[in-house]
Amino acid sequence: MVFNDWPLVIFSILAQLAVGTFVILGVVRLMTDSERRETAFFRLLNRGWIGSFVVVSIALLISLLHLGSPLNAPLTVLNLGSAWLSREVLFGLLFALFAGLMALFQWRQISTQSIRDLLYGLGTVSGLGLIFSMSMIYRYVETQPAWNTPYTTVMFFLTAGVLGSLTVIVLMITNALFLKEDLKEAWYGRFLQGTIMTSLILIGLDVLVYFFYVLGLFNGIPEAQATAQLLTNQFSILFVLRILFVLLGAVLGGLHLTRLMKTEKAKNLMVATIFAAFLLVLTSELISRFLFYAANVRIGI
Amino acid sequence: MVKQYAFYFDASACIGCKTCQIACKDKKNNTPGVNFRRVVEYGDGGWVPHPVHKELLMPSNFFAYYVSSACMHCEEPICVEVCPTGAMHKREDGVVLVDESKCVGCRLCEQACPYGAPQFNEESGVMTKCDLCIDFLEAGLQPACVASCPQRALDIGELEELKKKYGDVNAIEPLPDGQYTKPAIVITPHPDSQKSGEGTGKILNPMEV
Amino acid sequence: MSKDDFLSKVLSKAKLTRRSFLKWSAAVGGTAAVAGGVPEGFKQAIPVAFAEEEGKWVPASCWHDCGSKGFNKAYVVDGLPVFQGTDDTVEDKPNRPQLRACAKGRAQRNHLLSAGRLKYPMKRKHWEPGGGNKELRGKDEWVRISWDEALDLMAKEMLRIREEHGNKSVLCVRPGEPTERLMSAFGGYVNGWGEHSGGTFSAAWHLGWGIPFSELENDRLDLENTELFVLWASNPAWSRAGIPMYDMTRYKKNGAKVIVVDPFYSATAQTLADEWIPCRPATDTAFFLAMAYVLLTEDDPEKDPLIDWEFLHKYTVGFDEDHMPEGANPKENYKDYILGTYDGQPKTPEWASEICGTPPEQIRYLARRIATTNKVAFRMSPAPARVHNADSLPQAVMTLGAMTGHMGRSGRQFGHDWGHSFLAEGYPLLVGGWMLTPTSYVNGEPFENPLASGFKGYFGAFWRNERFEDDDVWLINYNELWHALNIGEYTVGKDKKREVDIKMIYHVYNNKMNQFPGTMESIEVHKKVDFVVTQNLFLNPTAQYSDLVLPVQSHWEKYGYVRMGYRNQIMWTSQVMDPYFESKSDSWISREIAKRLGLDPDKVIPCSFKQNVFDHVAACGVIKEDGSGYKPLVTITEEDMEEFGFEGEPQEGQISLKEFKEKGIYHIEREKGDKYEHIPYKDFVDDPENNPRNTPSGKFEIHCQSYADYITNCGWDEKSPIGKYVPPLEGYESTFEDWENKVKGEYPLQQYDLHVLRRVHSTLDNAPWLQEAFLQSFWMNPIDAEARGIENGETVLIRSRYGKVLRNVTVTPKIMPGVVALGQGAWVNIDEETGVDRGGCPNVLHGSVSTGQGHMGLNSCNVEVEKWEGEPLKYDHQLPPLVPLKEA
Repeated sequence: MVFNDWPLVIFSILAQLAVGTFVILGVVRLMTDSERRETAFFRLLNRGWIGSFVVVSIALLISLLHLGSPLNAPLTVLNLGSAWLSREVLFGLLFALFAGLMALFQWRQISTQSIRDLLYGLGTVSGLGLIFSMSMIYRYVETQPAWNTPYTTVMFFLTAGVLGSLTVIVLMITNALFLKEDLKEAWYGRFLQGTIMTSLILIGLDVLVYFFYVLGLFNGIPEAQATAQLLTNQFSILFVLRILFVLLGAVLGGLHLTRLMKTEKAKNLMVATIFAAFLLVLTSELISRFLFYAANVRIGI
Repeated sequence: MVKQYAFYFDASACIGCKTCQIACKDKKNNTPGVNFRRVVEYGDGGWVPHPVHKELLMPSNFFAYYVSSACMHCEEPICVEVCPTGAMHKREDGVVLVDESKCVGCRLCEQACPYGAPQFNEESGVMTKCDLCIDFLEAGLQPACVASCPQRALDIGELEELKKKYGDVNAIEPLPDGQYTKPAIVITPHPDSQKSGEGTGKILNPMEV
Repeated sequence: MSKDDFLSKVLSKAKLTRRSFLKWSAAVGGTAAVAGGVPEGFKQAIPVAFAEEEGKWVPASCWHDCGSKGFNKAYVVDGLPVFQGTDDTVEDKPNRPQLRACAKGRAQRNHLLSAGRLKYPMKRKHWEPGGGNKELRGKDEWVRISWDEALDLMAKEMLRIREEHGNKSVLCVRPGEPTERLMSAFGGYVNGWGEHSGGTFSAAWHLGWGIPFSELENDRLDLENTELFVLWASNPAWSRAGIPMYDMTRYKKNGAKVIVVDPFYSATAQTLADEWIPCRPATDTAFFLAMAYVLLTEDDPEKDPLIDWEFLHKYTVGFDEDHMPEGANPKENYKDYILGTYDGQPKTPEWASEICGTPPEQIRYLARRIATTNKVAFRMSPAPARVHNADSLPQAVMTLGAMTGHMGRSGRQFGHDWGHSFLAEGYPLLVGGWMLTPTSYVNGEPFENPLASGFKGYFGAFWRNERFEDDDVWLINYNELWHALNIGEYTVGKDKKREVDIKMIYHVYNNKMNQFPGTMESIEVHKKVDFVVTQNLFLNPTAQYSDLVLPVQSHWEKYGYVRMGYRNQIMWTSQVMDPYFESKSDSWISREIAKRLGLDPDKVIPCSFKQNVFDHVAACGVIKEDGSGYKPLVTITEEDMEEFGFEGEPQEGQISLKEFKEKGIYHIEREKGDKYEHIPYKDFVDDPENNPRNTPSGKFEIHCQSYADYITNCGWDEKSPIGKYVPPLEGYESTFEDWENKVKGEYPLQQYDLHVLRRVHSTLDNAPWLQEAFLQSFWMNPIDAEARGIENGETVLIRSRYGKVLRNVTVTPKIMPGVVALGQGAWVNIDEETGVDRGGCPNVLHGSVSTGQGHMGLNSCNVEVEKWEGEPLKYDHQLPPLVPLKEA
């Protein structure tokens, strides 16, 4: 089988990662008082804004690879009236714009905090709009049971949350290690703990929702059942890995809540485990998205 | 002025000879892999032991028939709805066309259409599809597929007139139920035809369509 | 005109967008060659819009020997065919239907402009006079040479071979008239005899059943009266595209019932059949004998009349001991054979069922249904007659027809279709083309091969003749050709063999390596001889094993062609495009070789190609209103001849020369009850005294000594004068090692060949669009597949006593358990390492198993199938095209 949709897999995962990172970083920022916003740790977190902008830009460029005639790409916003794809492109561009400005302003300390609050608000709205319209592209295709379900929207948002929170966790831990600060003692320890807790909850939801999604397919119309059978037969190995990886990632991430977090010696191990957790979850989401595109049985011929 | 052009297909006369498919391919000069009209074979059957002479096997529940399918120029074309650029559009006479100069080649219409009508042309990087041979229609000729059919199983006309003449079946297996896109097609079923969504058979020539 | 000028002209006229233009020119520009206006290869992806004033429709020939006929035309813009069309010259109605072309006809443009076309004369690199390294045939490199070089070396080698070995060492099988005339002038050549299509029906006219070359079918309008059609192994949806299937569908829609008897749930069965009755290949005769048994034992003239005794007694001999032909043994009558009076084996449905696999009650049912329905039309394809020992089948069919009286009467027939449109439904209402005269040169002398003296023209050698034993007749039976050449001995008659030693083989537009049984032996033969020459459009397998390949023009590149359609149409097609690269016509090639052989080219080819086409057009005839004969079809004036540059006499006809040339087709409109209705044997049935059949008894001979003698004298089998069932060499019974205890043998499956939609015999097998639309399939029942651990789509190895073939299997319940089928005509492609054919050619599996009449008996072959553990096969359209010459 020739699989043509790799650019879409990568685009959607990266875009969702970027939006998730942007939103969660913003929450951290909002919860940090103005003094602490001047700390080295917080400054280092700015890499997250830049990263979000870079990742969404790369994602948008990669999405062009999926097009047969990329030169016509500017025309894709023409059908905002009926096509969710047009809306996705519009939101994608807006999000990239706001994420870029946010990164620039944070990095260079340009403008006031309230303007940045506004930018964050705009970025969040366009980011969430991006994920929503992205999901609606697929939900709208009522001839594809694998897509034509509210789970699509929920799963896309969960992907953003899971990957975004893990990205922020990775940032925080590497920052702390770079600054040689004691995570247990630092003021941001509770932020880290909170983010880890958030990510664990989101991962739990992610697995649960995926379970219900597949269950829904099994109980759907014949084409939906055929889709579910593709998942559990032809793609069974990937299907298992998708679940396994995300759970393993959760375990490795969860470790940071407890023992590892308190020791000072196990730096390398800490870096390794949190990166491993991130990569496992990222891989799991990539597999999930690959299956989303590859294992579908369309109604009709 | 025609309100809605439509194909007519007689499943009780179609022998799966694919003359329509090749005539279309020739008219449209299509690359391998791109077929605006395709012929699908649908059916089933098995063999059971004879009630008395156990070693004899007898055919049981046999049926098979063909469906020649192109773009249905739907009344509610999902390809048009999902198209981000407006390249996919519906003319006043109902013909659904793709404006290749606008198409970005995102292939979403291909994934949405339950008839597999929009097809991607690797060489030009855009979607292509049946245009009902509008050049022939405008010259007073029939589309290549209709004019080619040795079994006279295809016709073209105004949707409402075809319905009056041949009834209002617009879906048999393995075509999707008409609810999704309101296809502009009128079908005379084969005696063994099964209702869309309630089929017990399967597509018998998956490698050829 | 340069290439770019040419293209830009075409493209601007065709109103292409600039973008399209760039695509096209880029695509064509890659190989940079445009010879005479035809670009190399076939450039796809750019449709050309129809614009009436920009191009013109040209009637385009489809000359392949499928047996059907469709009308094609090409839309030509500045010399380039941009798409095709079909018959729309008349309003379409049942009494005068348009002659619409099939998928194969519609792929002509794709085929003729595909990358596989031969462009230049080519020589095998390691060939030398005498052969050079002969083992390299089939795998050697090709070298492009000039026509002069090609023709010089060919003439030189021909003279050497004649000098050293004589004309009896030159084989040239039915090459077509230009070559036959050349080779006859050269002093003669060994030719073949026999018939490909008709199987044992070919000589069934001995029985009084039919006449040579006729298809025993009623006129298409008369069959509208039929109540029940029994189609036996007859799949017109695949093998008689066009009018015959269109008509069958009409009959069905008008209320006729259809029963299909076939090992395969065919496209015809699934579209038309009210009932499908499966029957194993090669067992049909047993089925018929059992039906006769049912009628004989259940007939009660008063209460349950099943047999038309009056018909039997009045029109046949040999049915029972009271109605035997003169001099025949009264015990050798059909009735007693059926009842088993003397051989102890009544031919009961239970007896037949064990052989043919059809439940006994279905045999009973079908017999009674045929006997109790007023108007039955029975049609059998010749496929069951292309089986060893099927020589009794024509007798069995004819006898059942006579028992039920479904012969010679309106709406009733018991016949076969031989697979040729111009033979169908009785005498043609329009005549012309090569059928008209014994020579395709209307005004030329018929040629006569000095090594087949007395057999003038085309029609001399379809049947065996006693003269075959004479020293000046060298004709080898088609079926045993490759085997005979391999062992150096062929059959000339009963217990008579003759040594033969061939040094040169000259193939003209054929693929006999592929299409005659014993492909593996054919390859051996081709590797033995000194010189193999092939004239063709494509590098088909026969060409691949040659030393010299000469590219010829297709009918699309020649001035014109006149050919009959079905009974009611005649066509005159014209030149569509310039010759492809350096290709030449067969006539030109014959003239040029003649010159180099020191022969007079004007004697070899008596007139110009164009003048000959005109002679054909002028000779076309249309039936007179009263049906009494033909009158000229075409009106020709002095001005026409001047304008077109023909010579001839003016004449009055039904259509002007110009109109005929432009339209390309002439139809006759029919009416029910008109003078042209035709029912075979009606004259005999109406008045047997004055219209006797052409047999010693003047009747249908159920006991037929002349048929038996004819077959016995052919030299392959003994034949009883009545139609007894004799198990074939490779039938169902031979799949068993121990028939009594039903122990299967080494080759437990029966393989037979299907005519598939993809190609015409082996022609068009390499047409890219057809390859894509119709996969080269191998069909197998799920029960047999499961028993061998084979899954749908997997590559399997098919083994027979003669060879091995690979195919991707289609596992489908549509084929009977125990039976497998291959599409005939696939191009053989031997893997040098394993000796296995990767191309799927059925004749690799078939040996020279003959019918008693010498025609191919290959339609049942014992095989075993197993999963292939090597590299899986790709489908043909996924492989790169076979390009004859890799150019620098």
